[in-house]
Amino acid sequence: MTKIRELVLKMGRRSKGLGVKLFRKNSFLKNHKTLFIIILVILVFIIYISISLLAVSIGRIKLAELKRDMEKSGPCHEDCLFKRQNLELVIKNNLAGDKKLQNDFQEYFLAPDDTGALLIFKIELLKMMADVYGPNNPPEFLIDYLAKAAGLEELKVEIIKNFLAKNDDALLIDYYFSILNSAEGESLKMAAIVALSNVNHKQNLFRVEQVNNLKELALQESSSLNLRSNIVFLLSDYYLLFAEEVKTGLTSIYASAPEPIIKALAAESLNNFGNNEFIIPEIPETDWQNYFK
Amino acid sequence: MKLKISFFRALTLLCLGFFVLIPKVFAMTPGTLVYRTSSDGKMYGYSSDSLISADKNKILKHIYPGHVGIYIGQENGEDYIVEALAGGIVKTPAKNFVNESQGEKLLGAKLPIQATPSEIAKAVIIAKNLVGHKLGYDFDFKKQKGPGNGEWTCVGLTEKIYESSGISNPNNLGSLEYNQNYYAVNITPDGFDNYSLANKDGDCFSKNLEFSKIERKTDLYLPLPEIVGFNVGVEYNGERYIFLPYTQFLQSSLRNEAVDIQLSDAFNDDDVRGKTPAALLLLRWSLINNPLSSLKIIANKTGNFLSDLKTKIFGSDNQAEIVWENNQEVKQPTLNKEELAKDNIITEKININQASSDDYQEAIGASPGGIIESGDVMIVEDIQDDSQIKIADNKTVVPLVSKQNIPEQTSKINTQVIPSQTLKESVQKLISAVSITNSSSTISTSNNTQSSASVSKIVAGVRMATNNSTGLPGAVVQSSFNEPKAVINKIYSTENNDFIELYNPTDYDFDLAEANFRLEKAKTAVDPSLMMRIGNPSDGLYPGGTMIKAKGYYLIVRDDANTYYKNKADAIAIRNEFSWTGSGYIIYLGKDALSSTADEDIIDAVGYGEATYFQGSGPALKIEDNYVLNRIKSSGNNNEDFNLIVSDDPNIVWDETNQDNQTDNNQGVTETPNNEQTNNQNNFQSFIFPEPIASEGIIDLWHFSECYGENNYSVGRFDCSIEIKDNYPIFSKTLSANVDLNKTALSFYYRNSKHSTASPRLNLKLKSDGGQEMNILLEPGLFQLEGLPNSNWRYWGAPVFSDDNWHQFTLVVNKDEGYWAAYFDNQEKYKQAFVQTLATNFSSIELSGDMGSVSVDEFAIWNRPLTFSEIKANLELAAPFSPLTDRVAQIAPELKYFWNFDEGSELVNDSGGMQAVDEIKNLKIDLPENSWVWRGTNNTGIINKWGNNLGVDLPAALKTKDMSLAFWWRSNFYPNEGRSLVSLKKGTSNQLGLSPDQVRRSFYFNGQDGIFSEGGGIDLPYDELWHHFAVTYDSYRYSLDFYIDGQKKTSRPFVWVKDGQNPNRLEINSELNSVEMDDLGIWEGALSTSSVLKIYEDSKIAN
Repeated sequence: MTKIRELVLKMGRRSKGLGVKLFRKNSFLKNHKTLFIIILVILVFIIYISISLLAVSIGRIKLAELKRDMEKSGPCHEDCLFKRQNLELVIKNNLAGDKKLQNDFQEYFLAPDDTGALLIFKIELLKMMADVYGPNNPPEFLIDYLAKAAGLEELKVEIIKNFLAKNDDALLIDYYFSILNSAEGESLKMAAIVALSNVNHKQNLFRVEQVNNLKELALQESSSLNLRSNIVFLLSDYYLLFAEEVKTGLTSIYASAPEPIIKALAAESLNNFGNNEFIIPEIPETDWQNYFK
Repeated sequence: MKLKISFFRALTLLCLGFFVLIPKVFAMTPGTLVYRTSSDGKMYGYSSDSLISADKNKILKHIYPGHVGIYIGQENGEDYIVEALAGGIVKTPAKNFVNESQGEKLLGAKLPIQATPSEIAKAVIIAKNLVGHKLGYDFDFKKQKGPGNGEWTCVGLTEKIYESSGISNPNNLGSLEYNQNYYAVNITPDGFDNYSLANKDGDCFSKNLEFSKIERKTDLYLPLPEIVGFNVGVEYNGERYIFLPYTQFLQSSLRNEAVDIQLSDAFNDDDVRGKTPAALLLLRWSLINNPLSSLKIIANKTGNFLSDLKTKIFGSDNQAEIVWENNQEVKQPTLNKEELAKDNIITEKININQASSDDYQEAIGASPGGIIESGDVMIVEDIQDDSQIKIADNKTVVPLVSKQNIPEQTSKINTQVIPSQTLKESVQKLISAVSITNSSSTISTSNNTQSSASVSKIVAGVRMATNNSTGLPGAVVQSSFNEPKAVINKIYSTENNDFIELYNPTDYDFDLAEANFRLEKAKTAVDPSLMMRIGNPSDGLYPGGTMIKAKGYYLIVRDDANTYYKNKADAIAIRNEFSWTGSGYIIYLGKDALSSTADEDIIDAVGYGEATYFQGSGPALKIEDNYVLNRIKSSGNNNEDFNLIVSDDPNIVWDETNQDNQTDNNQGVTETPNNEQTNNQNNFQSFIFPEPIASEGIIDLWHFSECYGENNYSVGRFDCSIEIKDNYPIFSKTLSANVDLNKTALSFYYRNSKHSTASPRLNLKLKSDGGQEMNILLEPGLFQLEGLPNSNWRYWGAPVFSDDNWHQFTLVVNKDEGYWAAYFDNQEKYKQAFVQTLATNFSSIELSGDMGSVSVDEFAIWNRPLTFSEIKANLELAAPFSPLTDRVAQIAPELKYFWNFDEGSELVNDSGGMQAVDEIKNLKIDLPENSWVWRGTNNTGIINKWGNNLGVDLPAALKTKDMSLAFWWRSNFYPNEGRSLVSLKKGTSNQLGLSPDQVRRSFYFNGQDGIFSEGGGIDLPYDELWHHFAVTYDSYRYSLDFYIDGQKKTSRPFVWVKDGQNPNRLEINSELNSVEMDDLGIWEGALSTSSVLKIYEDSKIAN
């Protein structure tokens, strides 16, 4: 113990002597005190900046990087995609516990610019939030966004896809039907149809009166052929639950729909259900072209 | 340093091509599949390049799989393709499908021929829906056809999309179709091809099946596992398989489509498609990622080495036998040494996986007459050409190590939930925000999500429908390793004779007790109650043991049952719970205690009648008394899988009476076959449908039970058959699936339909897509066979058409065991060994004939060779194969019209009245004057004189195909003998008629005529007394029977009257002089022999 103490004291005396000698004997430092101070200040500044940078979370940095990358090159595949997924992994790992990062998400998402790459970036934000928060915990600003009339339809569709559609809830079914019965855009209605189609426990959530509603929607000539055909498909999902009502509905569609495509799809479903007497009408080529538009 | 990784780029199906833009004439149909090569125009199967190639450093360098995507139409004016790339299932602009700068080449565009427009539309919707679900690429090639994340390759995606294009709702991705029985469009037949060798490395390229075997590359250093094994590809029988786009491209199920959109461009691959994650792929293809297959191979290799060592030291036990060594699987030959020597069969051991060039030459030489389709086997000239196995140049190097941090799909992330409003609150907020503007419909918002009773029924049904573990014909029997499996085959519930019959669809016997099988039941409860634990002495007696044979049945009978059933029983259940009613139950077969409808121990469940729970869309029929609920197929839907068949219990007393129709009309009628008469007809023998033979692997089966169609039909071995003759239509059919001639069987019943007066010839052709044929010709004393190896072509002295009876012919081709054989009835008559690999794409059959007429029935083709014991058993069972076409059970005959002609008894002395009135429906026949004659005291009949034709329209056509006609008749001797045709007609056609006279008994049926018997005193006594005639037609037994005075005289086989041609008029037309008639009755249904006798006995009057 004594030996160690003596060693430490010796080393301290030696280093102290060295410092004094340095300033006394080094004429360069003696003559350039100002320069030395400046360098010192710069060093301090650099250290300050570094500390400041380190204070920004890695998640926020990666988010900014992701945004920049997406703005720069838009959608990409494979290697580029994996790079982004790598960034997203870091972001998602930090999102839950980083309030500032959460604010960034909200800020970026609600930014007024919805054009091009930024729209894709916003969709990516949605996917990350769904992964982290879980589909049954959408942040409130997303629900507000869904509710506001001015919201961009593409983003509303993505909110439904990434959050709502992964939940089974009777109220959600009502919500989807309210979209179908509203004047909302077609892509939102399609998202509602897809969400309804992928409900897991249809037997608990689908109700017989919805069959008639769907029938009416399928006959609504103001809607596109594509939308209405998908409603006919959706109607088939009700068959296991309400066979007679669905048969009646499809028969009505078959009888009343002016377009051969809708008639054909209804007839095909009916025939699949065992009523093989429905003749499938010829569908003109132009009808298919319209359908795929 | 940036390394160019062209191998991995190729792996992810990035390729080069030339720019093809056909001037826009018409738009390419969305749903069209587009195909391209990999870089430099290379594509395995299409070009001569190997799928996997390495550089001189033995590092995997390129693969050339080619690529396919599905065109989904335009979005915002731009054409898009959905494809599976390394980034997953993505939607890319169509113009980026082919990269000109990489030398990729567009192969073409195709649409499934079979796909209906709506299926194509659904395929497009499915493709669109799959995009964006973050479904990753199957870098392991373990699944390739989805449905999960990381389970898709390009061609697996397009195949699955069309297979699933029949689902009712294409937006419901949970219902993608994985049961090949329900594929909407099966572009490429499912299966594994390990015989269509494409190069000397042992790689296969299949033109007929989805998966081609790709040999492991033992000369590679990287990926390392290639040296010792492999860990990519679908693993099947110890080999790895990959589904290749060009295999799909070649399918005849596709038709070419014109390309009129821009599908190619020159672009920087990295910019547009990005670079392939090389390190990730290395990881995926490594031992670390999935060591099992590699370890398995190492273990096998070690085992084989030790085995070889043992053989070298101690010698082999079977050195003279042929052994086809197919990787680990060594199959024993069927032929013994003597047979082999007799037939001059090659007796050398050939390892097909390690064959040398000499081996191939030897194999070619060994099969000069056999079918060897070029490209289907390795024996092709090109294989000698080194260009087939080009080694790629050394421009690029695969990086060995990358420290790039690759995010895995399964990477764990923090999922801490951030407090927010509840979802329910959020949705309520949303609903109020959506303005309902354009619908008159209102949807009530219900908080009550409790499902109704009917829904809960379906819940159970839906849930259980997925548990289709049954294995009767129609169901796919999984080849899991000897897992005990059985299904409920029959349920009976009459009186105390309750029984359940089980069926074992597997190929192995097993012990039901050892498998812990049990039966439980429930009426409405979710939790069923125990009826029997098979093998448990507390639950039953087991006179037949507890083993259930392969493809065999096991009958469990209640101990209160009659001796008939108890004598048949394998087990007698003694628990009181072993009983149920026919009105509605669900019966479970389980392998442990069951607690709910979704219990994982449920093996099979049958709900019937008013059952609360059932499999599929609905319960089976209610079980009526004296009827057995009988399984006819195994689709997992109780509603469709069962019919009712009549019980075979001899103690049943049948009641033919239809009292509703008769009691009200029989008042005061003394001579009518009354209630007593019909009530006592207790011997009605309803036709019992034969229990069909459940035989697995039937590709196509024709019962010909439709009896009418494009071919000529006659009465067959079981129901109807087709007749083959030179001027009759040829029977030509496309098969449901291609026949692999290496492992198949076909069988049919045949007979000389014109009996011994002709020497008919039957020609059967099995045709391949490539124009190959296998021909079988049968004619009296000759069996001729072309198209199978080592056939002697003509085999004289064959037991063909030696009599007029039905015989069964069976052909079996079993390449695995190295033989084909022809069986006549239960005799193996001709057998030849062969070693060649035969074509696998036989897709159609044709039956033609000349020199006479041959009847053919019960034609079946299998995708596997039948065993001799199966063939024998099939013949002995004397039953058609399952599934049978459903037909309602035969009903007892019902008297529909009856004229006793007794109106004249009061009037005959005054020339009588002018009408005879039917006793049942008051149907009146107008009579000419002086039509009444005395038959006995107070009993009159009518006389039908020349020129006095009688007739009456029936109020409705007879409803059944079974029908009967009976009457009393008297005629004078020659020269005053008379003849009248009593006929039930449809239009001008006599559908059932009899025209007897003293010398000839003519008949009419279904527009045809004939003679039952001819000659005075033959059948009909030559006298002038009253006699009773009856003619009956039984459409279940296909028999027209003729009776005189209650005795059956003869029968003739006939096909039933066509739908819509049932008779609706009665005519009595005099053909000669006059006859007297009485008691004319018309029945719906076929009177039985004893019924006819009873009618005769009850209505006869002493002459």
